[in-house]
Amino acid sequence: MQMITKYEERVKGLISNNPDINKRIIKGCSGEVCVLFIKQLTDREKLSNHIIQPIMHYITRKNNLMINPTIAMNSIILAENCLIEEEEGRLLENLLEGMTLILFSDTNTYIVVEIKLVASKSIAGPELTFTLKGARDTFIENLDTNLSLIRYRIKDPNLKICYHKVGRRTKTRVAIVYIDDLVNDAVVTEVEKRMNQIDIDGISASGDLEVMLSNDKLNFFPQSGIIERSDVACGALLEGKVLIIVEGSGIVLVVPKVFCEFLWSSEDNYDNPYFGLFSKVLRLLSIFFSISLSALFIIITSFSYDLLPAEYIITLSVSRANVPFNSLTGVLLLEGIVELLREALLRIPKQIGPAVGIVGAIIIGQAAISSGIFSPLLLMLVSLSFLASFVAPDFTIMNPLRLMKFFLILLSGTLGIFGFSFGLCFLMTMLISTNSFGIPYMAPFAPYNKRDVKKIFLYNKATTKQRPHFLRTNNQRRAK
Amino acid sequence: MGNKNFRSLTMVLFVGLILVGCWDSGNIEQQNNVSLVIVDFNEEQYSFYIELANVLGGNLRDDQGGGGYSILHASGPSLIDARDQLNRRSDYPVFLGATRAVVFTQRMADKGIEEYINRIRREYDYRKSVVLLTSPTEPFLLISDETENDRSVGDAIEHTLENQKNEGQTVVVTVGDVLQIIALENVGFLLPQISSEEEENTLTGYTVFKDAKRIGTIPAEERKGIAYFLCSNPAFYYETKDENNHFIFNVVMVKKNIKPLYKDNQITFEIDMSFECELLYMNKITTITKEQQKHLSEELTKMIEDDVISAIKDSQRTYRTDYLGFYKYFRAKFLKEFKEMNWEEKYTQAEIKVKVKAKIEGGQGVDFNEKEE
Repeated sequence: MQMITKYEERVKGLISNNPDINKRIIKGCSGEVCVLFIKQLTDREKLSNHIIQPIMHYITRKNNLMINPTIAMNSIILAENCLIEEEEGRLLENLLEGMTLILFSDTNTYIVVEIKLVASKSIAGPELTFTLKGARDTFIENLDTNLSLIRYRIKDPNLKICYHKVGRRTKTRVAIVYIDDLVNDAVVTEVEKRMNQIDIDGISASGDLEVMLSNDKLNFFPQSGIIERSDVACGALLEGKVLIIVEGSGIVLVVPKVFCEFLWSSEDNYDNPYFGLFSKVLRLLSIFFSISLSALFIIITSFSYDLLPAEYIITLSVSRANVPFNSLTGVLLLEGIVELLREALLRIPKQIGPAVGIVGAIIIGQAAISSGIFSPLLLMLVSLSFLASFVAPDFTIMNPLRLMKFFLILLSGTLGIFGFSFGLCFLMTMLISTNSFGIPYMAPFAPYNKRDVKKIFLYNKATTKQRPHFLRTNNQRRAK
Repeated sequence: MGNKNFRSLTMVLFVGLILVGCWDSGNIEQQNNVSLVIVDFNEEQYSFYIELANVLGGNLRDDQGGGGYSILHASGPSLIDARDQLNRRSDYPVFLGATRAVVFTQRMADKGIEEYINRIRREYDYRKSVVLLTSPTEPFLLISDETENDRSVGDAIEHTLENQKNEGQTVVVTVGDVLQIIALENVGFLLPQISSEEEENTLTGYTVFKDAKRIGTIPAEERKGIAYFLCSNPAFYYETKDENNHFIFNVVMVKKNIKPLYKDNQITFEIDMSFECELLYMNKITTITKEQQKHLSEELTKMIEDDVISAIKDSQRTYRTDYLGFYKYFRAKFLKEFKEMNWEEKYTQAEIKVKVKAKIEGGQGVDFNEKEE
């Protein structure tokens, strides 16, 4: 009774600060049992059927028998996940994590039962990475569900899941998943090291963690990829990658991820390798176009006219005849408008999205040409560049490249072809200097590995029997 | 990327801005794009007639702008003075990168084109692939007809030449070619000639140049033999007649082998040419016997041989300069001797043996293998 009172006093203090903590006291002849839970995080049906009802049944039927944590856990409570805890200091922590606590009047120990119920959406189709042939089940905000989706596909005993808690206040569970005999041990060590170095009050999604795991916080380029679909995540595990799954986030991080992998789609693996090659080359070209078309337009119309064949010089001059701005101003204005439209389309509700698209594409575009503010060629190039920026399956790589596009435009507008070349060299230097958890970012091009280049361009599980060498996996062989 | 890197980047950019001096930004539409240059020399005055695209002169209500082509004329006692006057008359900088053709008048060709060719070499925006021509027609007359139709004369001339070149009918000579030949000395060259005939600009033959000065003109009727030496895929129509019929052949050169020999200070060239002659049609459709076929073949061989020999004879005897490119074959095999000799003199004394083989093929339903009834 003393104990209960002691706990009750403590809990009372807690309840005054956290009114969502509930208590239920069950009195018996041999003592009292106090059940503490947060009703928003608890499966109340299970609480009733698996905890309260059996305890009451035990107490009323066997009046003279003692009830203690060991007896309760072994013979009374029906919940499958429970343990006996002795540490008083973890009382509140367990409660805030959504656990149900069973306290006893005559002992310091208590039982922690997991009958959490977290509201989450059901497994739905992908929203970021559409697929024709791939699976459509995506990760959701529930960590256990996400892990179950992986376990469902990979029945390997070597599939290893390590849990971490990140955030002094949020105590967010983070699972690091990999296949033990496949993964590059150095990558796992690096991930663990960086996870342990995180000291922050809280994270709310995998995006927070992505920034914190980067070794160069000001680097433009993402060092980890994002995965929405479980089949893609399992494919990454089988390639020897490490997944980082954050509780409460439907986006899973994958490391290491090199530059060219941001441009590869899982769909490529399901297609004929030649079509995959075609798609990959197309995406690489698109990336180049998206960052360079506007800058090249400035170079050609303001600095190096003679780069064009003679017959096009006059045509291009005529198309710009009545344009009031110089090329740099025109490009910056139009690119600015396009960025504005992009931001607007991302934020506005889906129902009015197409309307904004029409306003942007038709009304502004048509009006700009009719009024002679922009030349038709410039509008075409900027639109092409805009379209090309969407071809990367992992869109996170496009954000730094969008910034680089403006960097190249400004350099080309002031220094001409020298500025453009300088900008490209700077971009390449940055890319080559970056690494993703110890793996060179531009692998397998820098450092160059001919066999890996062939493997990644003509990738097909049936024909490419070895994993890329640059990942330095423990087991290189994929098939015999 | 820390502060140190940022500082380094800023330094590189700053130094780049100062050292490179790429502040020559302009606007492509704010320049006078030249499509044709005619160079004349008359009464001790050099003249430029340049055809400009009217980029900014068009109707502003028109989306595309533009208003056809106009002519700018400037002259002066020297090429520099003429250019200076041209610059003073031009509202925007003259841009020569869009030039399609340069035409020298006959008077200018007589005076000599070497100075202007060397000017082109120094002009950074002139393309070395610009085609060169000559014209006996007065410049304004050459330009006027097409300009009235808002068509570029330069564009039309270049396309005419390209078309004729692809048909295997004419030689196209660029600034780069002439620069190369002038550097060699003692080698002549040809430029296509264009004239206004019945108010249409027409290719009317070749102008022969020696020491970069005009020494004569070869009419279009005599161009076949020249084409067999200078065109990559020459093809011409030949017409033969007998008592009862009239045959038109398309003659295509399929093989050319020129073998230079040098013995006892005597240059000899052995030329071996093979032609395929496709019978296009005849006046009356009849069966051609083997005898007739043989006769036609001999006749065609003779006609082609005459054209080839005539071209060589003109080159060796009439103009006494190697504009047919024999020097290339000789130099390739006897470089040391070539450097030591006066090619022009030796070439005129060279013995040239011509062997022509014309093979007749049926076409359009003509069967040469048909048996006589």
